[in-house]
Amino acid sequence: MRSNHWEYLAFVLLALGMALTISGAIIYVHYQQYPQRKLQYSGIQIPLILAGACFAVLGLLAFRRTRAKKKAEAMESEPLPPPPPPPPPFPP
Amino acid sequence: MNGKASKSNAVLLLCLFTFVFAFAATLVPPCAASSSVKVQLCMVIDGSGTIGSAEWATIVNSVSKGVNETVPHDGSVELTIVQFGARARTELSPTIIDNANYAEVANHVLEIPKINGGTSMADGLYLAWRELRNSTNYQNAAKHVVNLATDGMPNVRNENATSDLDGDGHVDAYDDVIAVVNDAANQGLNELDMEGIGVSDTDMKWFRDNVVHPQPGIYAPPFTKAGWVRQVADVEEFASTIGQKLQAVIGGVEEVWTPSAFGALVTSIFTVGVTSIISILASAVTNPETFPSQAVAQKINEVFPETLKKWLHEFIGSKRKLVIGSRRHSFFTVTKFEVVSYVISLSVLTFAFAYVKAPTLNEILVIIPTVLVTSIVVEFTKNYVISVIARMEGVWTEHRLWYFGLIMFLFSSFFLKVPFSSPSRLTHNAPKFTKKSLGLVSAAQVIIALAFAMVFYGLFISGYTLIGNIGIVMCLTMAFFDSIPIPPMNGKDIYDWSKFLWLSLFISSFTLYMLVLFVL
Repeated sequence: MRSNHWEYLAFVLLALGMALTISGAIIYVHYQQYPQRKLQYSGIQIPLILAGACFAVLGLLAFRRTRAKKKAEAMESEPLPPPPPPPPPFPP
Repeated sequence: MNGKASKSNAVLLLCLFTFVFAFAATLVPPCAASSSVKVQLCMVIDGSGTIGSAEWATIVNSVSKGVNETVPHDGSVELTIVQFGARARTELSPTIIDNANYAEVANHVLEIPKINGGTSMADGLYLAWRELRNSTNYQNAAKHVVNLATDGMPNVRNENATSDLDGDGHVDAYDDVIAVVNDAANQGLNELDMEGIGVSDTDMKWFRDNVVHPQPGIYAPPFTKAGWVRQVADVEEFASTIGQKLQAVIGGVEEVWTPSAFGALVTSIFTVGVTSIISILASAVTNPETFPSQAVAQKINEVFPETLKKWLHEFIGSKRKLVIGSRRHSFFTVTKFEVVSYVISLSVLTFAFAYVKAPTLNEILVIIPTVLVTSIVVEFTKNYVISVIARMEGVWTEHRLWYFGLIMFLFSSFFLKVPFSSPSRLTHNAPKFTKKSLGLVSAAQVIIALAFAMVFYGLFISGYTLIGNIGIVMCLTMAFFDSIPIPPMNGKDIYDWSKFLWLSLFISSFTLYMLVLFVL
């Protein structure tokens, strides 16, 4: 995988993680205020926050990997040093 | 690091991804049994001196008849009756009406004596809300409704108001009534409706604008939303229409509908999974040099027949592909193809949402007009506005059916009961479209869907429950779907143009979609 693939993966994981964490936190506050609403989902907030945190951490790790990959690719694409000049012809 | 290490890291990440998702899914607790009480109704009846004895007898007879004939006897309604006159008194403590007790309750109502005296309406409403709030069924009740019936205006203070709430220049018993209702609404009262027996037009307007909840209040019939006032000429008319009123209060209760969280999880994984696989294969065929593994891309190109490769080419380029030519029509023109496309996509949206919302054919037919209006507002307005703007920017854009999206939409709606995906899309005259303009148009689709969701939320909390409910779910489903970053979906175009704009739009739409599933 190239750096742009890693970057894509990193953004997706981070976005997913942040969205799950934020929604989990809001749902947590909501169920604190209205504990009897939608009883079937009353235990969902903690798993959401945990899953969100895991995704976000994975996203950050993928960002680190992206940086490393970008460096490696930059080094790979660096132009090679010019070849040494040909030796002078032997004098006749 | 070398290529092998990268691959193993990617596999590790994918495994963790799958594990965490599966973990979150398995922790969704099973459905808990809910209480049978769906409505807590408190009737607040005026028993002041202006109501004669004969009129009182007519009122209690009609309420008793309502308990016998209109209030369901299946345990879904908890009934409370409060009378106010010189003071307020609970005549029937919160009682769940069922087959075993409805006749007894009806007889009990017939024996309620009149209080007489002034009109301590604020006391009556205060007591009504206290009874509902302190009822043992309060926590499980779906809806808390107070129904006020009076022949006059409040004239006994309970000192709840400390300021001039109706703006008439002084603090009086009227303001006490408003203060009590405001407090109750803040604590969870869902609906307060009012019936005026021989009350003047001016006074009815005061009740409509200040007392009923939620605001804005309306004149009924028709009972198009919660928070209505109804004017009846006398107690005879009150008695003859009580069944209709109770039906409006109890039968008119709209269950808030949201897709099941489990269904939404399965549907989104399925849709994203299928689209991802096709997108990856298409990428290997159309753009093998940018594919993560050259060897795999080569193998795919060797194995796949030409027909399949052609279809994959079309799939990935369906949005930019020049399926339409550059036109010279007016910006506002709707072409014949577009008319057909709009009609089919609106029909599909309407029938799919009506099908998943209503359990029976009769109910589907009843809600179809509302769902159609919502679909027109969301699907047509959004796409038409964006088409016109894109055309003004010099890019001819048309609304077209998207067959892949249509199949996914029908599958998710009819098999999983969670409408997901989109039956149509905007196609553009490719040559003039840059990465920026494509990103802008795609971002506009998400932003407009989110804006419409806010408008529908406003309608929802104002008491227009059905249209608000369907509109919110429809808009947020579209916003979430449009922000998924897999080609050829709109999210990828936004991502390619601006990663941070995509990040914020995806987080907003996904978070709101989750809140709809778990909180609405």
